[in-house]
Amino acid sequence: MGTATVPSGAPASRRSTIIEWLTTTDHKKIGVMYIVTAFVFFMFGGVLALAIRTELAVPGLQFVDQAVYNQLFGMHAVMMIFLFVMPMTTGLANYIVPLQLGAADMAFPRINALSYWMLVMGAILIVSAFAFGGAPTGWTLYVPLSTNTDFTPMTGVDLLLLGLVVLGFSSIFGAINFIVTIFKMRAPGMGLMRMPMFCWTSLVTSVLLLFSLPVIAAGLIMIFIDRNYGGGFFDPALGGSPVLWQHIFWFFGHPEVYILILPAFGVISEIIPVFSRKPLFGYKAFVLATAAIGALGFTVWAHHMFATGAVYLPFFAFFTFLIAVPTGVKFFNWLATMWGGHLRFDTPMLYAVGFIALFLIGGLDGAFLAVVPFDFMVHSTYWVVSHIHYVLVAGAVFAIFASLFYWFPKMSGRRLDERLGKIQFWILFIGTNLAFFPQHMLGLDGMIRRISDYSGNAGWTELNFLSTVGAFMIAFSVLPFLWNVFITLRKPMEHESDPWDGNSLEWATTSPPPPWNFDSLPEIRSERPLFDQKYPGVGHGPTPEPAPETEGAAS
Amino acid sequence: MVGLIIAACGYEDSANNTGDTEGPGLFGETANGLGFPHEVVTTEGIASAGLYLPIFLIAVVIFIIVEGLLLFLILRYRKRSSGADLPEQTHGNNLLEVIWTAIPMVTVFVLFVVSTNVLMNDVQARSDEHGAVVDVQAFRFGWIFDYQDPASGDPEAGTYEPVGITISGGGREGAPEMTLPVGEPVLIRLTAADVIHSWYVPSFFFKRDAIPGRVTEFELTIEQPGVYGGQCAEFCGLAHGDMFFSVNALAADEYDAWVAEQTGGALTAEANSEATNAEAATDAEATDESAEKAA
Repeated sequence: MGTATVPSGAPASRRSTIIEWLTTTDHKKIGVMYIVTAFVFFMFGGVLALAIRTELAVPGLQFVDQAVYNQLFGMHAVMMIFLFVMPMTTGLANYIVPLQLGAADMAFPRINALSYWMLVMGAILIVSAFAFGGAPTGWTLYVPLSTNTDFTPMTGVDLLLLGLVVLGFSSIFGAINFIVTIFKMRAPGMGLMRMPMFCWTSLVTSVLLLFSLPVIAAGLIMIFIDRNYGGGFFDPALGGSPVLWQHIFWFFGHPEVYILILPAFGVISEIIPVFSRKPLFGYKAFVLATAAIGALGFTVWAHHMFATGAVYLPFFAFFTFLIAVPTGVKFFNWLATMWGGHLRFDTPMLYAVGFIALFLIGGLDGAFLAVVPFDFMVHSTYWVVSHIHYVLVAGAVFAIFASLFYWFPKMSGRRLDERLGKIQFWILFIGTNLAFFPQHMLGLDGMIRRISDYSGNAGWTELNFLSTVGAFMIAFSVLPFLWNVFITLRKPMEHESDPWDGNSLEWATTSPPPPWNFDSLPEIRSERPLFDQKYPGVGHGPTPEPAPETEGAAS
Repeated sequence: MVGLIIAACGYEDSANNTGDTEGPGLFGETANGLGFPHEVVTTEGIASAGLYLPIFLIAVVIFIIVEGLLLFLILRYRKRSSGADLPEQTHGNNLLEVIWTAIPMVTVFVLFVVSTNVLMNDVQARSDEHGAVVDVQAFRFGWIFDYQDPASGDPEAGTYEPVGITISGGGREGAPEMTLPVGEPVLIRLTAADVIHSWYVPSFFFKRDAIPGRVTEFELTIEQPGVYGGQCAEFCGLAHGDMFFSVNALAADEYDAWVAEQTGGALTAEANSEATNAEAATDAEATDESAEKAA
């Protein structure tokens, strides 16, 4: 994504441009670096996914052997979760949140740069695991498989652990930075209940990170000690417990799912109102639903452990059902926002609508898993693989492309090509369904995940082949995007400050914004300050004037 | 949508198709016992699987409402002119929002009550009399089935006398077979020797993790005689994908005959089981080694 395209004032030599990027503390440059880094790992993780799907296309072992396969699925997950979706949403938030708040930068610009460079360091450690025997543990790192060096002697596992700890601290610093920025750096007049929804979801995401990451960081260090120094935290022979690791892992791991998807909810809640030319329907309910998802996210972790027989099932089943409610509220709010609107189907909106259409499937098949007796059947099968990919591909990836098309003009001063964007959308839309829908049926029929082969007699060949075709379509859909970015960056800048007729403050400055972000700010009286400025008198609904100072006191 | 219906039909067909173990279809059967027959054959599994259709129907209704509404909105409100006029700026509607919060709330509460009822009363029901008691130990990459005498010991305290039948094996070729009686509750006591495994038989609609240092008990009542494939369902290392086993469900009298044959009468029980054990263990080790070599 156009690293070298954001103008940096006066023309500079190549060398000083590089130094400037490497040493920058500007939230926009750091955001762009996050986004570019994340996209590189999106493609890296995608190649691993293609290797998995190629092996599974037909029965038999043709492409890789078991030992290699066992590294692929874990590394695919680690890269997509920790090195793609998290840095990507962090990068977008880094660029956009200070702008939406009307701030000049993040609260701690140098800690912001530290977070980014720690991401790079963690990524190097994780990738280097490939050179040291890999990490055939899955991303869940279940003990005793990961702690017993008789079974996993390779140094790659240690490198993965260290890399994840470094990434964890990077995200903890980032979360603190976002929380302080959101509470302390808002422009005058922007009360908490006037923040754009993307800022709200970034805030809740940061709180989730702050509560869950220290737990997993401690757990990863415990595994490292068990592996290398005979710690015995998770060894039953030494008084430890293998189930304890699963509690630690999923106490982080389930909030992590919301860490990945809440920023996506935020993006969709920005795009739908703008392209419907209406305010977000039920703003307060939306804020409450976001907070409720965040809180309930910490009460459901053991639904990943139903099959252990070591957890109190009704408690976790109940809260797992309950968390479907705030998510459902969001769906109805999005649909009600579109109701009666003037819908424009530019690429960002296309992706947003695709998100609603497909994320619904990931919500519904997830609700099945809350039914404990059904979970006993499909836990650890392709049903769950399908569920997580409907959430993370149809959910997070669609929202990420929506936001890249939406905010690219702000970052680069140029709009991406609409025709290429629409071609990409349809390839991705069809590919996603082709890749992941058949996996429901495979799971129902008992095909477990994390196996490199299946019997030709099982009747799974056709469905697996379809899934592989879909995976290649998803990979192929990235090509028009790369081409799109390439040709767009070669065009001259248009400098449109507000190409989509936007609502929030990032559109109230130039594209790209100056290093100090704003020369002047519009008056902020609602969650749509720019809209209020452009269309005076219509934004506040039935009681337009005068806007009382009721909510600004929070800051 | 079509796919969802196909999924449901596939499921329904095979659920009704309990007796038929022949003939491959999209969800077809296998001859070698390592693939997965799709019918559900245990009392607990049938109760569990019975939850699928109602939940599936609720999901279909929600799917149709939301996707239908989305499609309607796209067609009805897509902007045709490029005028600068604004639609009506509606900010919310409390009554509507309460309604669409309350309906999902009631729905999930009903689902919770119904599914927890099945879980507590059908799946986790316990009986005092067992047709068989088997101690299962999972190891990388195989299984040991150690039969206990359900009529012996103190079921209250969970102590049984060994029958003297121990079957073990592992890997793709040496997959062990667990013989069980039909029509009586069977008690399985599950643990693992090294890492976490999971005992999974799709035809039983059930899996349970085997965890080192911990014994997990569960019961199942098989209703149909037959051979049912099983597989380790928790990633356990290199040859995880080859960690098969099967369950051979026999009518009660045939099961008794099998037990008698295995023990060779009470006198030679010990010798016999040791022989079986030693042979199987060698098999398992061989598989284990060859798997490691493959790495």
